Formats: sequence, C-alpha cells, structure tokens
Amino acid sequence: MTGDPADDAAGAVPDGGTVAGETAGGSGGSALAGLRERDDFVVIGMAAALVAFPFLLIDVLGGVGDAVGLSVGGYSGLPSLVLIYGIVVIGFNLLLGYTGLLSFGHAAFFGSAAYAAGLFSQVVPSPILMVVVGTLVATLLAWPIGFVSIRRSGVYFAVLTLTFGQALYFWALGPGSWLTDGDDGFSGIEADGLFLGALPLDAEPIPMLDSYTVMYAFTAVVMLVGVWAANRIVNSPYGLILEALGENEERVEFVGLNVFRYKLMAFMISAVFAGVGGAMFVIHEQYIHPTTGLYWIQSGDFVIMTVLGGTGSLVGPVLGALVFEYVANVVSGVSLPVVGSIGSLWRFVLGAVFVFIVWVFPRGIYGAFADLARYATGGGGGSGGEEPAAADGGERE
Amino acid sequence: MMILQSQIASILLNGLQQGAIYALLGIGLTIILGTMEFLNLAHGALYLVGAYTGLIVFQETALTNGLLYNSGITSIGFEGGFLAAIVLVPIVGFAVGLLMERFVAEPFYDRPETDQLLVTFGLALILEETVKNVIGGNTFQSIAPSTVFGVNVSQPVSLPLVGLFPSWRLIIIGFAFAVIGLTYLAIERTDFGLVVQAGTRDSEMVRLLGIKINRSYSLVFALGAALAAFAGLIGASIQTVSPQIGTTQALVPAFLTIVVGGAGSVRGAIAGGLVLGVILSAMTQTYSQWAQIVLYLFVALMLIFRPEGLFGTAEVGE
Amino acid sequence: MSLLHTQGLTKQFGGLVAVDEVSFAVDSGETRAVIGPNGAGKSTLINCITGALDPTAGSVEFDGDDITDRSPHETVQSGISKSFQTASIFPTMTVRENVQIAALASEHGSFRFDFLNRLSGFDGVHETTDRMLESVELLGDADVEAGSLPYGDKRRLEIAIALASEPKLLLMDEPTAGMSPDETAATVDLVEQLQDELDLTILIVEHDMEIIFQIADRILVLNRGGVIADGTPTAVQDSEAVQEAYLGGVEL
Repeated sequence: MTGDPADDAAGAVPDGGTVAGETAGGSGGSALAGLRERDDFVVIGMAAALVAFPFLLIDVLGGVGDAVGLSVGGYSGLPSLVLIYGIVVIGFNLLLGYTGLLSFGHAAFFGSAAYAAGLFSQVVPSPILMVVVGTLVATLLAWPIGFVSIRRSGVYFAVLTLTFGQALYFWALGPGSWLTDGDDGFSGIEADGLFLGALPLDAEPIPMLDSYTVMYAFTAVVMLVGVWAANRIVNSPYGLILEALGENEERVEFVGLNVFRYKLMAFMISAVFAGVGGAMFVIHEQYIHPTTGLYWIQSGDFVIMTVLGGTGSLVGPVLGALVFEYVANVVSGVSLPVVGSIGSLWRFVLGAVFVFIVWVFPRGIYGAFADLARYATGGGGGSGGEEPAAADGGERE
Repeated sequence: MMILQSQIASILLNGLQQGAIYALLGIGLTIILGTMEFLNLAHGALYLVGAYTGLIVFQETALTNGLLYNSGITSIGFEGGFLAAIVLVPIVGFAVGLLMERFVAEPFYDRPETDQLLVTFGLALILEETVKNVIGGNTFQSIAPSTVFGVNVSQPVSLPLVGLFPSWRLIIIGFAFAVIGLTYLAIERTDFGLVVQAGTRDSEMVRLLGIKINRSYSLVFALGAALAAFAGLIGASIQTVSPQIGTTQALVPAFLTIVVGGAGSVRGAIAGGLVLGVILSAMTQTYSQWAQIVLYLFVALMLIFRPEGLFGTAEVGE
Repeated sequence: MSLLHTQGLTKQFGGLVAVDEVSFAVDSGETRAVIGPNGAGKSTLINCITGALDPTAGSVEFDGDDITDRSPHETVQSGISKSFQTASIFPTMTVRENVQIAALASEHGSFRFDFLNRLSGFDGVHETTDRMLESVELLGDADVEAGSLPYGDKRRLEIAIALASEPKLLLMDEPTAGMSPDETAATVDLVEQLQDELDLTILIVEHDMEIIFQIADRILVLNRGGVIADGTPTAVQDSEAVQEAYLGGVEL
C-alpha cells in the first residue's frame, strides 16, 4: 500500500545487509576508505589501468575479433574518447551520486567549453591552454545556471537545467552563429600539437604500438589529474557534506551548513569536469556542432553513462562511459551472431539496459563487478565494498 | 497602424493555438504531479504518441527509412480524416496512460524522486528510439485537414484585422479549447474532479479519508496522458512531426507551463500555457531566432521573482 | 540573564494564526519546557525560532543578537541546535560520519572552499565527534551504518548530532515521543547528565507531563497559538486556564 514510510524501496534487489534499499541515485560508503584516501594508491592504480587500456581495447579485442570473425576491436581514437567522457561523468557523479542532484543540462558546460576552446585555439594554438580556457568558460556559465536552477528541487531542477541547456543550444544554432558557425559546425581548430606544435597529437611515439598516440597520452594525463582531484574532493569535508546532502538535505541545513552554497559548489565542480571534457573533446575531434555539444541528448547520454556504470562509486561511471561508447561505436557496426546487426538500435538497447539498472540493479556495471570480485575473493555478505545505497534526496518525512 | 494591429491579432491567434497545446500539457502534468507526486519525464513521450497516432490515423504517410520501410512497407496510415484522429488519439493516449501507470509508475511510487526521474527518462528514451527506428527518424509534414464534418475547410477565411487565416486552424483551436473547457468543468464540477483537486492539495489526507485513491490514480494518470496525446495531435497540425518533439515541444514547455502557472493549479496551467503560447508566437513572428531563448528566460525570471507562479499556493519545487 | 527572548512572535498561515503574540524568555542554564494540547502551536513556535519559518511579526533575540530573520543554518551557527522528533539521520553513512558532519559545521562554519583539504586532518572535529559519541554511548557502534541501528539508538544518535554542533541552547522537539517507559527514563537521564556535563540550556517541547515536571525549571503553556501560562511547575499546575485547556487530556 502506498503511504508507508519510505524505508523500503519496493523492487530493490535484496543484498545482504543493506537496510534502506538501493537506488540508482545512491552514494558511496567508506569501506575501502583507507586505501582510497591514499592519493598515491589511487593515482598509481589508475595510471596502470590507463597504460593497459588502449592495448586491451584495440589490440586484444581486435585479436579476439579476428579470431571469431567479428570486428569487435576498438578503433584508434576510441580509448581517448572513452577517457574524455569518463572525465565528464566522474564530475557528473559528484553531483548525482553524492549530492543527489539530477541535471539534464550538462551538455551546456561540455559544449560551451568545446566552443570556447576551439575559438581560443585560433588565437593561441595550445591544447593545454585550450583546456584551461574552455573550463573557465564552462565554470562561469555554471554559476548563473546553477544559481537559478538550484532554487528548485527535484524534477523542477532537472527540467530547468534541461531548459538552460536548450537555450544555449538554440543560441549557438541561431543568434550566436556568428561565433559558432551555427549549423555548419565549428571546425577552425588550430591546435594539433602540444608544446607549441613540438609534439603532434597524432604522432605515435612507440614503434609497433600504434594504439598509443600522443593524444591518448595527453588525455590519460588529464584523466589522472581529474581522478586525483575527484579523490581529494571526496576525501575532503566536501565528500562528507555532499554525501549527506544526498541523504538528508534538511538535516544538513540544521547542523549549520549552508545547503544552497554547497549544492552550487557541487554543481560548479561538476561543470568544471564537464568543461575539461568538452575542451578535450574538441581537441580530439577537431570539430564541434551544436547537436554533438549542446543538445539535450548529449546531456541525457551523460546521465545514462553515469547510471550504467554505477552511481555508488567514484570511478564506476567511467565504466559506463566505456560501455556506452563501445556499444555506440563498435557494437553498432557489427553483425552479431543470433541478433544480427543492431545498427541504429544501439541507443534503444542502451536505454533498455539503463531502465533495467535503475529498476533492478542500481549499483550498475561497476557494482556488478565489485560484487563479483567480492564473491570470487570469498568476501562475506554485508554491505562492504563501496556501494550501498539509498539516497533519498532528503525530502521525505 | 492597421498593419501593427493585424500583426498583433495574428500573434494572438497563433498564440491561442500554441497556448492551447501548452495548457493541455500543463493540465495533464499538474494533475499527475499534484495527485500522485509522481515525477514523470515521460509526459512528453505521450505527446509524441499522440502526434504520431494522429498522423497515422489522419492520412497515408510515406515512409523512407526505419524497420517498417526496410521490411517492405512503404507507407502507413488510414486516411481516417481529422475527426477520426480527434476521437482516436485521446483514446490511445488514455490507454497508454493506463499501461504506464500500472507498469511503470506504480512500482515507483515509494521510490525516491531521482529514481522516478531516471526511469521515466529511460522510458521516454525507449519510446522515442522505438518510433525512430520503426517508423523512421525523418520529419513529417504537419497535418492539414481539408474537410471536417464534411465541410471543405481548405479555403482560408478572412478575419477582421488578421486577414486570411486557414479555417481548419480555427476549427482546431475551437476543438482544443472545447477540450480544455470540458476538462476544467470536469475538475471543478464532478466528484472525480473534487478528488483530484483535494488530491493535488493533500494526497495524504485524501488517502486517510479512505477514498479509493488507487483507482483514482489510474484515472488521473490516464486522463493526463489523454490530454498530452491530444496536445500532440494539435501540435502535429501546426508543427512538423519527428521523434524528438516529445522532449523539445512537449516536456520542456509542459514543465515551464506549470512553473509559470503554479503547481497543482488547473487554472494556472491554462493561464500559464496561454501566456507562454502568446510569448512564443510573438517572438516567432518577430525575432524568431530568439523565440525559445526568450521563453526560457521569461520562466527563469518568474522563478526568481514569483516562485509560486501565477496561481500556485506553495512554491514550485519545494 | 536571558539567553533566548521572543517578543510578540506571531506566525500566520492565511487565515490561521498558529502562533499568536508569544513573548517568553529562556534563562541561561535552565531547562525550559513548552507544552500545550495538540495544535497549540508548539512546533510552529520552534520553527520560528530556528528559522525554518519566517515569523509574520515579532522578534527573536538570542545571546544579544536579533536572529528573527536568520536562516536555519545561520541560527545553528549562532548557537542554537535542534534535535528532531523523528530521528533525522543519514542512514547509509556511518554513525561516526553522522556526528562528524555536525562537528565539522561547528568547527569550520557554514561554508568553506576546502574541497582539497583532507578531512582526516581536522583533529578538533574528530575529537568532538568521539566525545559526543561517548556521551550517548554509541562510540562502540561508530563504524556501523546508521540506518541499521535499532530505533532507540537512532534517537540517541539524533541527540548526539544535535549536540555535536556545540550549541549554547538545545531545542528538543518531543524527544520521548513514542518511547517505552524504560527508553523514556533513559532519555531523561541522558538529558540531565548532558546538561551537567556540557552546561547546556535546554528548551524542550513535550507531551509527557511526568518528564516535564521532573526536569523543567519553568514551563510555557500554549493553547491555540497563545500563551496561557508561564511559570514554575507548581504555578502552572495550579493555573485554572491550564486545567481548562487540558480538560480530558493528559493528567497533570
């Protein structure tokens, strides 16, 4: 019967020990906190993964593909693209998974950074400075948008962010097209090498390992910085406060914290990450169009990636970005046994998986792997690991 | 002077039609939101269903891509005419609404807000992708009936001030307001409407009073869905039809309407819808590039300076 | 000597006057109770003091400052903390984290840009947290998920959170509501002990008359939003107006 206290989430997957049920909007616990707090461990672990990544995605999968006759290997730009989106969703999850705010307008920060970076490159063709400028623009934009949107909660916040994102989209397409080249898309990006062109981005410095480009190295470094920053944030007072906001906003106000300002900070921090991603995106693609950069579908994609990966951890969403981009770019072009080619249905498939995860398994793909790992290493039940659950936005009495 | 007057009249007339669409969407959304506190990002998808259903019922439409096309079907549609569309679209909307309430909304009533938002967003995405892949991702021309009730309406009518105005659009505007009026009466004058009104004020109380709210939930949801679908039909008559209209033409304006009009108020939804419709119409006829942007900025200002909307009692989103 | 002082505090909702010209004072170090039948306006009064509601008229003064228009978080930073009737905790965070956040707010104020500082470096916060946990005897459960505590422990956690803000004035909103006699006695003991330990001033809203007469120094009685009695327990007990208001109600 409806009307019962919201202690049990109907339909939640029973998972030994969690009490309040699990939701896709949940936030992280603190079991691995000891290890995670050590910056060096996180950075080194991530670095190792980043080094192995292109090899696994392109070469290993390519080999597997050759063996079974399907081209399932990634193409050479894919690892960078995955990392770029990965950066965006790490920041996005600080807003969704921790603070409990669902924004459908983050394309505004992604796209504005892309355009700003692209335009800046015509003045100073430096990728590194492009990222700085793009991110700055995104952050400046996030302040007013956040300020107005955060005044409302829940669905109104979500729709407001969507609205502002769309406003920017229409501006770029129409009145702003003197700057953005409107529907033609902006392609005058002048940066193709790091350190004043000394290191071309498409160079492949390691002979025989042509999956490793300078662009990838650049992206990987930026990603490392991003992960380090996110980890520091999570281990700072902000980590505690944002997580508390996602659980019981009212109480946070009543312990003496300025809820509005913290929410705004969370929003702006997530915009910074989106901005970095956007600037990197335009460097990588050498082209940006309102539909790729600013349209609400892009914002929706960020939501899907984050939830797909799992909102309960810091890096889970990156996995979501990987799966999403892999399906969109590789699986869509492949003729699978039994089902044939899913072609343009890839988004439908991802949508269905997304709904499944929200409904039944909110811990996402990363959560699934974490569970598997725990099971495999003989870990017991209980809610150890990083994940558990219910963030119920604090608005329920 | 005369030119300016006729421009204003034309703006108002177009604004009425657009406003009617927004009002229909807003009413549907506000009664669902108010009664069940269910956050439905799939409301726009219902508009999409209405638009495509209307298109199919109304005329034979040529297909150029999509699954149907790939399997040999080159066109779909019934040549049913506009009246058939007006009758069938709300029915289809109602049915889809019942299904949605039963299978998607109900399991999520006790789940946190964010989950409701996410699952309805996923649903909207799936619906949109289904339409795109089955019927095709291209844009279809808007519906323009040539006869209604057997009467030839393809000739424009000469209106004072405005000049020539397509008569079928007048008829559509008439139908739209008839439906709005009926809905308003239903909510203000019937017992069911009373439950809805009470529900939008305090659904907890209504439940405690023992009124069978669950059955009402289904009806309220289905009613809201039918209104959204009908809005989609009207929308299909003034704008082109494509898979994204659910979000861009319906979802965003629906919420903006209730922000402006005030949450939980049917009167507010009507007023808000008309205000936004006229603003959009005015901008489209003058500085069309800025149309959407001005609309959004207007709503942002409303939120800052009058958060409870025109007729709302509590602050929207609290 | 008065720590908290309201003057003509009024709160109106449309046609309903929930709090009607309430003027009273809470002296430093005392335990002040607010009682009254259901609907008397007790919760509304508390909400006006904490800043959760804006009063329609009147003023609230605390420790020499006018806090009438302050937002809830500002009020907490001024030194007033409220413990909620139903335990308002952070269910998936640990017991320690629950208290930590209040201690953090007390130490570093309502907002800071310290998102790159390590939380583990805030020694004062950790020390306060442990101290509070110990006072409510939850230190052993510090790393348990708060939502999994039995209800009685959740209520104690609630009090610990309120105290971790290191307030001068603690507002307690019906702390024993729904408790068994044993739990109630334990809570009363806890409150008395904390008051001694921390030199706290307490304003308590309660229905349970026995508790009130046991711990309160002075009692404010509300009915229909207005004050009908204000004085020592004996004086209130003898007041005719009070007896009338409670006709058929709780035993005095």
